[in-house]
Amino acid sequence: MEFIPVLLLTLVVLCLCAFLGSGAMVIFYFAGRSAAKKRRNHFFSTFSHRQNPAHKPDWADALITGDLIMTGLAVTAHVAAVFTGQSFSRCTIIFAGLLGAALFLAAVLFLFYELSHRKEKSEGNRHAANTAKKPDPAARILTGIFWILVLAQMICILWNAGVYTKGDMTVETVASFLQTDGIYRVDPMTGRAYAGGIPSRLKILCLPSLYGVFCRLSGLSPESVVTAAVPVWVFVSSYAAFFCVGKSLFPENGKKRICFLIMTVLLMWAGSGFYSMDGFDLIYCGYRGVTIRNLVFIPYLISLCIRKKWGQTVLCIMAEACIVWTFYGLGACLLTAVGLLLAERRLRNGRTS
Amino acid sequence: MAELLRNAWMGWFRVTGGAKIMGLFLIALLFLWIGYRQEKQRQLLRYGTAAALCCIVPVTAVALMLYQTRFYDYEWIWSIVPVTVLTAYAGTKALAEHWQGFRREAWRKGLPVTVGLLAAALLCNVSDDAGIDRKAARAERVEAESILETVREEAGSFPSASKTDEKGVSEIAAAEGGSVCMWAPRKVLEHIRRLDSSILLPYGRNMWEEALGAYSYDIYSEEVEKMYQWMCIVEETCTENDFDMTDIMIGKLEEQELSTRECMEAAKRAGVNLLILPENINRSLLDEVMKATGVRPEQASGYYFFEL
Repeated sequence: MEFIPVLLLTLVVLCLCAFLGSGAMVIFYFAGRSAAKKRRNHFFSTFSHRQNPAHKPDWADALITGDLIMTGLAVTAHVAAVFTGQSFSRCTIIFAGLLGAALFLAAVLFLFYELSHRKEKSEGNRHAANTAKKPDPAARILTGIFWILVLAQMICILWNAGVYTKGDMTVETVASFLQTDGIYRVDPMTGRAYAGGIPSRLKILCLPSLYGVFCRLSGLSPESVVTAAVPVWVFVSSYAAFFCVGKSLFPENGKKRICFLIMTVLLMWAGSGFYSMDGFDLIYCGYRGVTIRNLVFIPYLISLCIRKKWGQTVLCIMAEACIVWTFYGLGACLLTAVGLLLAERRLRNGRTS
Repeated sequence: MAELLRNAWMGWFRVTGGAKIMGLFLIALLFLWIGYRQEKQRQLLRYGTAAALCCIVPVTAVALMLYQTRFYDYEWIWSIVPVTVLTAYAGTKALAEHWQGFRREAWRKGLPVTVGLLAAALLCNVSDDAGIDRKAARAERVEAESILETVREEAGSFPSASKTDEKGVSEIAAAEGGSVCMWAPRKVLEHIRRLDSSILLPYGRNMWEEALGAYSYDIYSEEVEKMYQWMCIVEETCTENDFDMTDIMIGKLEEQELSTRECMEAAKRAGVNLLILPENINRSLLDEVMKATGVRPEQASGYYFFEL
């Protein structure tokens, strides 16, 4: 396994996602502000963050929004290539073009935001410098414990864990895309042309294409990308999602947030011994669509629902439809969002009555 | 429907029997309902409880399994239940309360709770292997790699695999580039397409992993299935010691109505141009294969290589 290139690729993907997400955050910010001014568009007003300062979007929100955008770009390139019969090389070019355009847009938005908020920011920095508190030793200890546990888990993923491939053929699928320079042209299991074809719902799932593009652009083998680089990317995104949940559950207390994250890491270890548990998925099947859904999209969606940013949940629901084979895309994210919305409505009704 | 109901009922016992973390989750729910029912986050608590009940009660569990297209197992309907989030939330609440906001002076109350929670988390993970036999998987992989190395050295001498009986082959033949069609024991085929996707196989992992069958509408012909059964018997009757397995092997072949000659002919029709058999194959079976193919095998990496 080529560890340094794998880690470099993961780092690049994470940075790209964070940058794309930051651009999206700027759009959400302006959309929310204009909706608040007009007070008529409720959908966009859900993007604004006027309720609680701790609910303000930060790096974790940016990273996961970037993951969602990356999924969107991948599915666009993948579907365009599949339904127009393009080669995989063409799909890579389409993806690279879309990614380039998205990065340019994000850079422009970022620049615009920075320039328009220069004054506010310098005042904010001055205020922060004046009110800066000495970090609490307990918080430092908790943060240290969290990082040690996370690093141990990451080392386990990279060096020791092994991959659970039963019932999954992502590596073979990606390898067949690269080998034939085509998408779903041959059966990944045998390398022979399909006689009966594949279900069309499966055809639009974009993860194999995304991983294939990573292989093409980085020169790494499908096995290195699928079983090492992607699981680390998902691992970081997953803890970013749980960070968002912690931020929503304990907006007022940083120590509780870190404690929540430590509990999450421990539960991941605890669940790593049994198929389909969160810990098992994170450590042994980080590359699967269901893992990304269960450990990145759903926790993030929960945090959005708690923060009452209902509009953004649509992105999670759509992203799930692009990576997991569920009933016409009506997946677990939709059920979770509807369930949390109903629970919220019930509480509100209870309070008003 | 009855099968789905049974699956849902048994699934719950499977989940609780294997994953002790579910017990921890149920305790966490109880703890939150008793102590923190009136908290701000009761929206999440209510949703988590309702979702968990839907997954436990067989009728609603079946509805959820139908919702996820039956493609996924029972275990996956638990995706909608925030198990980790709620358990970690309850743990944090318990710790914060006993440490009185994480103050050093509160260690007398906080430390036992911390140790208790840590022990509970550790006891939940009693199994270490997670269903993955890493040692065996690594050994098989190394074996597959050494076979591949041998095949690569000899690749130039193989005739192109014939693929005339398949649709659309002419369109992709040029792109495929693979000229080796390999038929080998299961543990070799398991890894070979991951290591080198240019090698073609008469059947792949989806032959013995049923779940993979859902990824395509293709099914294997009866001939190819017989080839698989024949290879399984070869693997089962490999002799590690001097024990003679001939009678057992003949019995198994007769029981499944398999003939070595027919299987070799089927392999040729399926385009196989490289047959790999373990070195410790039953001698009489090896003789039969040699007679049926008319090929004298080469020996390398613990296997016999037949160029068909």
